[in-house]
Amino acid sequence: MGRVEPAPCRVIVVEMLTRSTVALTIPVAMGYVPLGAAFGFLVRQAGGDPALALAMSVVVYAGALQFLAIPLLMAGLPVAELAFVTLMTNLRHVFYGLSLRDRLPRGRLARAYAVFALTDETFSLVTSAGRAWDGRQVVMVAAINQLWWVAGTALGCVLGEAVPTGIAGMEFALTALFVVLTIEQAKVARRVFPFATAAVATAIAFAVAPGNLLFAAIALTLLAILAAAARRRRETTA
Amino acid sequence: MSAPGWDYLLAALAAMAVVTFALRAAPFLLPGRWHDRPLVQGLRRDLPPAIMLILVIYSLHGTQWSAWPHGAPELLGVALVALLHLMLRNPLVSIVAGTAGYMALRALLG
Repeated sequence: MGRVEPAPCRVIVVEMLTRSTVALTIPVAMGYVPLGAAFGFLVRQAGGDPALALAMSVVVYAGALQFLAIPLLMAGLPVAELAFVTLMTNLRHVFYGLSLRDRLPRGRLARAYAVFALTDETFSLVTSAGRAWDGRQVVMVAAINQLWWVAGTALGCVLGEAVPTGIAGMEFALTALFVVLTIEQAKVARRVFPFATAAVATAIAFAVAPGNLLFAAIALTLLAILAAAARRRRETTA
Repeated sequence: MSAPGWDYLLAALAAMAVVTFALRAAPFLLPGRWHDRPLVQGLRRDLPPAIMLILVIYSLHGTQWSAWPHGAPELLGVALVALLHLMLRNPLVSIVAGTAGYMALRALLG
């Protein structure tokens, strides 16, 4: 008589977990695959290598920044300035980890990956109500979401080959993405102050330092927000 | 314009990856209840939306406002994206239709 196979219970449970976890990521996939495709497409249209597009989606994995970086990379923006643009664009990610402290997996590698893959959508999926997430599920969801993103990028690269380059205006997709993200932020913020500050700061930066628009606008905005917060603090402790 | 070399691209990739990861890891590395401090609360509330709007404007800063069509496709494009998103709440539709609208306006107006 041969050796009895180990009970398949664990296998079935893992399978069920995997299947239902994948199902949970479908809403994210519906955004990530097309958006990733748009990214891969734009990289090819800008003359970039598909390897570059895929590398960005694997090691950077940050939507808005990836789109923003396309023209900057093609123009050879100095790495230090690129690092600064990255810092400014992804600053909001600093605040994501706060809500997730208790939900991360124990293992160091799994933990590091979960932190690495913390995107807007993964964050909102994991923090959405009605589910108790354990560390393993968080890692699996994060990994599956990134797979959707990379798959979309690959698809976009293929499509980018088929469509001729030089059709004017496709880069507007970046502006469109930012407009959508701004509206999403507005729904959460529900205040005029941050937007008024940003508009005024950008106008001043445009007049005073047009060559360093992004840096100047963000620096002014940062100061204004800190000043307002400091004044609120003084008023509440007075 | 020739595509940038891989020595530059690898350095650029590393910079973007490291900064992004550092930002995502920061909350787990900073000590104590730093996030409860009022200044941080203020930043947390106001900085993300403000930066998003700055990025909208920044993405348009190459526009030739003084020459025909004086940024009309850009402004109308932004309005179209905003309108679609407020009405339909579908990011993909907003982005694709808005970009298509912009490209049509460019083709029409120049």
